[in-house]
Amino acid sequence: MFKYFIIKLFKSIPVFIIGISLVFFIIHLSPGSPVTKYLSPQISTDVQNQIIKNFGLDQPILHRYFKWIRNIFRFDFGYSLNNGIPVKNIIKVALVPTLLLSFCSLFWGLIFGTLIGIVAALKKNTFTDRIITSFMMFLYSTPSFWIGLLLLSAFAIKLHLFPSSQIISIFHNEFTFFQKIGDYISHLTLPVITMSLPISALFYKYTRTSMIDVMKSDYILAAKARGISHGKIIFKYALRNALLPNISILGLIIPVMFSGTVTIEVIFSLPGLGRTLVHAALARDYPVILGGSILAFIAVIISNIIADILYVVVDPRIHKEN
Amino acid sequence: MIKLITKIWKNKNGKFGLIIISVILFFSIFAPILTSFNPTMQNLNIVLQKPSFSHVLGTDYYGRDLFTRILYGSRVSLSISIIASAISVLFGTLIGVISGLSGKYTDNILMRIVDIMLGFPKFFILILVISMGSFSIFNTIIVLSLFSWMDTARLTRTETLLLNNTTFIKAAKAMGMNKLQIIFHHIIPNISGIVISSYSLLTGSMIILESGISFLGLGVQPPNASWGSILNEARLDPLGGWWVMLFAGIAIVTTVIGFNLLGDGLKEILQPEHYQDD
Repeated sequence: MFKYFIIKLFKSIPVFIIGISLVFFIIHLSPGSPVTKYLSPQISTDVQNQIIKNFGLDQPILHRYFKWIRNIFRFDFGYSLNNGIPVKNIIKVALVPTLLLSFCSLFWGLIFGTLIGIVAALKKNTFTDRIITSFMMFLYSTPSFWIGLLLLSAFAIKLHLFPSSQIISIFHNEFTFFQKIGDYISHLTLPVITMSLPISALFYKYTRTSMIDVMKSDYILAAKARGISHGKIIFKYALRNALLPNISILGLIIPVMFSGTVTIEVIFSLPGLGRTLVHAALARDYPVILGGSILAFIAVIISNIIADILYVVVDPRIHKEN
Repeated sequence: MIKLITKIWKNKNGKFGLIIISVILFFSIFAPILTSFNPTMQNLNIVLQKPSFSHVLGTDYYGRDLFTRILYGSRVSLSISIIASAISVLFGTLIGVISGLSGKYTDNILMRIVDIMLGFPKFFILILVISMGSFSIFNTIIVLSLFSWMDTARLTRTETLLLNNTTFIKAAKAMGMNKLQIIFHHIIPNISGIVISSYSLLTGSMIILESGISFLGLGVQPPNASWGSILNEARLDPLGGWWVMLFAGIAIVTTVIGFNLLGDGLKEILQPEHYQDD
């Protein structure tokens, strides 16, 4: 098991390096430069060159590239070109809302989608199933930012039930512990609903299909024949096998979720990673973009490995084959 | 072609999808005939009017007719997503077939590339690339299709591998057909069903991607409209009319549902063995 994990980790190193190198060259070779916003026509060429030199942009691109790669392995991601704050700190601060948002939505999306999927599969081809399926089709086809926009304007702006922006209130530090938790919950409710609905539609789709397949299989028929209760058959016998595809999409869903957080953080003005990266991309803040991309790639790789491991845990046959 | 359409018509999902898409294409193509307003002309006397007889869906923050803007916006959104998914499906099929037919090394290298590309946080890379260059429809199509061909490649590779082991392909090889002949006479016709249905599904997700980019203000630039940029204008003015965000969103969702239904329908028609008793 541990060996399997190590092999996986080593196999993903080239993916990581190629991926981040691609990002490096995309942003360094594209037109525009972070320097231009500091320049005005009145500045003399000497000062201009000095600014360019301060940012290290006068060196050849390959030189910058190798220096950057070397620094990554020392965990040195440089400083933001915008405000001089170390990239590490920027990302550390921005990571909290993003992680809270993604894990809460993944949690609720998984539970909601799976439960509805099981219900729909058990009531296959009935009226309930048709209603659920068309509702889920609607969710599956809806861009999450539209749901977010509607929720925001209805519940935050018109009805004032939830705050419309940020992850904590202004007076957050004066709150007691439970008030702080309540503060987080009230700020995160709308974004989490927004994000978990499309996720649940995805899990629903796979759970329903695989649950239908499993319920048709012989061992379920045998269990029924032996008079085992309906609930036990579903939760003890069928569910474990029906959840297999959910685990494999758990690995695929992390990159998708990362995309989802970008628009949702922009709508709800959460100071998270996605929003930080969009702003960095617009300001050509190279070190922040690169730092964020490195993190994104690491997240994708780790989630793939976790999905592989979960796969083996749920289905021991896979381990035996390898 | 006519045979395929009658088959789609008999399938419930496919029928609904086909109807929705045809209606939307009709609206988009005949936009100048269907509306007498100009999508970019501002009229500050009629700012933010509710839906009425003269303005079916109301007017937006600058007094432009929303119905007109949604019609003209559909042209941008649809043309970008239809062309981009066509390019990526063709490219993906090409890579998938090559990878499925060729031996170990090429297959390995191509699939590694697919793995790397799938590992990319796609939407973020799109934002990055589009915000770096300047926006044009052409650029957006290229970038969208560059990062969307991988799923089709995987799918067609698996199918090609399966087909390559069948008896009739072996017979074709024994009869001395070369690789190109096998690809064009046997493999492409047999995987075309999967390719067409994945094209329809991909177009749906492309529309969401494109509108997401425009929603962040990176896509179509004002005063031109796309569905995403209409929603972006609604986001920037949340106290304004509810109808602006409602109708633009409904346009996106309906279109995506149309393409998804058609894709599901095509899947059911063209690979019937997977769907015998569901």
